[in-house]
Amino acid sequence: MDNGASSYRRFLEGDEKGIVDIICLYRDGLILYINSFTQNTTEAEDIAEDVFLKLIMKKPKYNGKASFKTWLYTIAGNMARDYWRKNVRHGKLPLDNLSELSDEEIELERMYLKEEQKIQLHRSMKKLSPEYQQILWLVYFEGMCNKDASKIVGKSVHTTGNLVYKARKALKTQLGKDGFVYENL
Amino acid sequence: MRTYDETYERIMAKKAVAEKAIKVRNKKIVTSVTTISCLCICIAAIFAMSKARTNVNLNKNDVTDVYLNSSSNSSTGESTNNTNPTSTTLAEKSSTQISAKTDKYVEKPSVGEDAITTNHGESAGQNGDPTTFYTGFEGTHEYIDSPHLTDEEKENYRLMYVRCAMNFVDDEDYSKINIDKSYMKKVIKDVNGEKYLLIHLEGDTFYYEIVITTRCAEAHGVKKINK
Repeated sequence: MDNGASSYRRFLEGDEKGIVDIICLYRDGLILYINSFTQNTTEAEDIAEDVFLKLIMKKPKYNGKASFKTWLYTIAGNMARDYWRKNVRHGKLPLDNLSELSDEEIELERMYLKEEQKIQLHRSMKKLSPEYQQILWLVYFEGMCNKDASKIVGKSVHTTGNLVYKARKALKTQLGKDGFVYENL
Repeated sequence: MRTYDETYERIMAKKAVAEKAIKVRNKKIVTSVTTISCLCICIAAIFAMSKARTNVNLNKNDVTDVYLNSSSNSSTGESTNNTNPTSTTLAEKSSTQISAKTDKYVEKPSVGEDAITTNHGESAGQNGDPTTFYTGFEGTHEYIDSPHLTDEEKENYRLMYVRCAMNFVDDEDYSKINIDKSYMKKVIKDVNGEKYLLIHLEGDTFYYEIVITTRCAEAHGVKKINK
């Protein structure tokens, strides 16, 4: 399983179906990840579309140093950070309802996470700071190691490890407040 | 929440918009480059036409604005017994040729030692008559060795005016003129609003005094005279 690398190679060779496969494989995960930046599912959908558009228009070279998934999430993270900086500067991000889930997001997490336990975990995670949400999403929901996650968040492996530790601790506290115990954390 | 198909369609729509924007941008760049190129060509063409027109005007000025007072050296009194037939021929030839160009505007000048004096004094004040030209000689005189001119300016004027003057001498005489002995004798100002220059050209066997307008001189690239 190459996580979309072969699909992207096919796309670069002229097979339009390659990009369709990538979209089907990564769209939902990317939207949920980007949503931790935007706090708005529609915006997250738009940014995810822009990520795929960037692949289509600019055809960036994938060199295979990291997995395709890490590479794609790095692109998405950079674009989401640009969006976040731009909107924070203009005061457009909603800061008062960060933990509230929209219907679209609920639908999306049901589609993507499927398991009730993961959904509850995600909802508790949504109450944490965006930085914790992003790193926890990558590590626990996308199954990335600290090294891959550090590439995406743009921090050193050591810093990322510390961040994961703190985020995990905060999540445990939050789960306790919400009445859950997630022993596997 | 959008479906996969909707997402794909939206991406394709964005792609079409982006490609169109790129095309428009490229078109604008091409248009800009073309416009700039056309402007450059136009400016070059205008410059070339302007230069060509200046040359035409110059030739016209050469004919209409110059009065040549020529005489052989014998006529200046320096050598009354000049037996060189060539020199006489040259002087006469020059006089004839220049007169042919200018006799429409000026009387053929008298030849001799008092040519300048005569010209200065005669034929003043008939409007419309070509000899009106000479009234200007009664105006203010400013000599080439005036203190307001630097040595460089004097030399520059001298060479340029001589070059102007030599346009009125045919090729044969041109080669005979000794530029080192030629000089601008006077700058005569304020003649009917026009400035005139009196130039002294001295060859081995002849001697010219030429009146030329500053307009003609400037057409040859001579700077305006500082007051």
